[in-house]
Amino acid sequence: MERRIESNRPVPEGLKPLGLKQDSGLEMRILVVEDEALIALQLEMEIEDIGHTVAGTCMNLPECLQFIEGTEIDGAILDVDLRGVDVFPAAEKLRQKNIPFVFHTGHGNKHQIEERFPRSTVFKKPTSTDIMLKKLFSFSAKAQEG
Amino acid sequence: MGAPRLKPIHALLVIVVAIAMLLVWGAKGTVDAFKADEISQAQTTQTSNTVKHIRQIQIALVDSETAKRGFVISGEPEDLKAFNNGIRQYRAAIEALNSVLQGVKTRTQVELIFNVEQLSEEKIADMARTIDLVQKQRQAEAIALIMDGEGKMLMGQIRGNLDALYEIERGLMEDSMANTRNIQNNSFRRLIAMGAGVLLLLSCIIYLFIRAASLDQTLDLLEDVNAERQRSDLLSKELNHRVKNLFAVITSIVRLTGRNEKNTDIAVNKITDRILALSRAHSLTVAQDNKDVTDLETLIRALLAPYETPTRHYTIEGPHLELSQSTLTPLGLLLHELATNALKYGAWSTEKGGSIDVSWKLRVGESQDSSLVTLFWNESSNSALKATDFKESGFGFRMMTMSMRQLDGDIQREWKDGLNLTAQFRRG
Repeated sequence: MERRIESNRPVPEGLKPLGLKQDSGLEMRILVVEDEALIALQLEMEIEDIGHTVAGTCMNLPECLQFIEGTEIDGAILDVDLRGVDVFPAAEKLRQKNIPFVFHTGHGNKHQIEERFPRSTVFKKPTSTDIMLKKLFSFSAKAQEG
Repeated sequence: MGAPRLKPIHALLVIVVAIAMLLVWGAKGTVDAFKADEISQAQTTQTSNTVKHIRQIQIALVDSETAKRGFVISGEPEDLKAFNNGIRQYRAAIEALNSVLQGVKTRTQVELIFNVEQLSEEKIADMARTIDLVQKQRQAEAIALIMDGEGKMLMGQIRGNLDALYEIERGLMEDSMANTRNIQNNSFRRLIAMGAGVLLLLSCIIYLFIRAASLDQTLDLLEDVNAERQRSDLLSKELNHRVKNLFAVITSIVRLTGRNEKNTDIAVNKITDRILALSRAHSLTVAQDNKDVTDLETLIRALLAPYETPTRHYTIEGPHLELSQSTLTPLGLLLHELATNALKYGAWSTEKGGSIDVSWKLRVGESQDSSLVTLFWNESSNSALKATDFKESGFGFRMMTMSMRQLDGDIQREWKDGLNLTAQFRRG
């Protein structure tokens, strides 16, 4: 499943990656789950800028569950509240499939969510995409060791 | 907090117990008064009987003396009979007196009655001796016996003792009456106190009723306040949510614009325009029954009006359509991108200008959420335009597409005298 990064896209100023790509040399296929268009777009573009692939973007839970079922991904960034619906069923599904994920939320209860998903991390909006990707990568590496 | 307050229920308990005690005390007073009256009546009967018997004793002895003297003078057997009759009457009276005072005699009374009996027996013996002398025809001796003053002295002593007995009895009755009066006065005072107590109890009951009524009112008020606070809590939570969301969206605008526009001045202008568009869209909301609403026409007008000039026209046509707060950001950004695109490449880009016709149709679904809106954006330029358009991968186009996806919608477009775009989206 691992692919060497071939992208030579120039990285815009101010969005210099924190070194993930260089450190790992691996490209991940990331699912973006976010119901606010602009934030989703920003995540998409920054994920691409850093050199990973956006496997897809989902804006509601049914769409998201279907996507996880049918598409192979290496990690996911999850908004917690999707138009008033909790994203947790999708998180459960990812956990079952042993796919690493992080939460990216404006008002979720960090402590409560991390208690429920101990192998994940909750990032408060807005958090740099790079930091979230680094975290995802570290989960992914751990999963592969285990 | 203030000093601990005596709870009304405790105060009431104290008052009720106090009034109950007061009532018992008052009732006892009344019973005492009745008893005192009975005792007083018994004393009155006893006194009047005693006085009657004392008088009878005196009268019987005087009658006997009178009959004796008559017999001494006349020797008539009638007088002797009257004498014996007087003695009998005396004995009956003294017996009656003893009977009346049976068991209630004071020491003094016992002594006085004893004296009366002793002296009376001496007197009777003295009189009997005189009668005896007369019957033996010793008239002179009999008269001498009368004259010696012995009988008179005895009578005087008897009268003195009887008077003392009378005085004692009268004293007893007066004491008893005074006592009764006292008790009755006392009882009257107790009755007044009882009346006051009952009045106090009534006041307490009325006070409690008023208090209960005012407590009900307070409870109603408290419920209202609570409901109002819950509403306001909800509102502030919602507002907090929105502010956080808007900050996140603005952060995205800044980052995305910066990423796609290398010229700092242009980037700053674009960022400012986009934030302004967002601000215009959101400032339209009017609080209505705790729900912020605006309508599609107002939103379009607010976003296009700033660009209107004599050569740049627009028309708006469509049914009244209320928008929910969650659609404002995506719709606002879509319309802003369309307007700036028209300025740059489309109907509004040339000197001769042109017009933009915005219209929409509504397909009503089962709920407001499922109602679909089809929005038409038709540009017609007054000059020939280069066949140019959004780049598929361009940021503006991606942003519009993503915004419509947020509303479960999509975009179709073609280029002919400007942009002709159809956007479909969920209403709320």
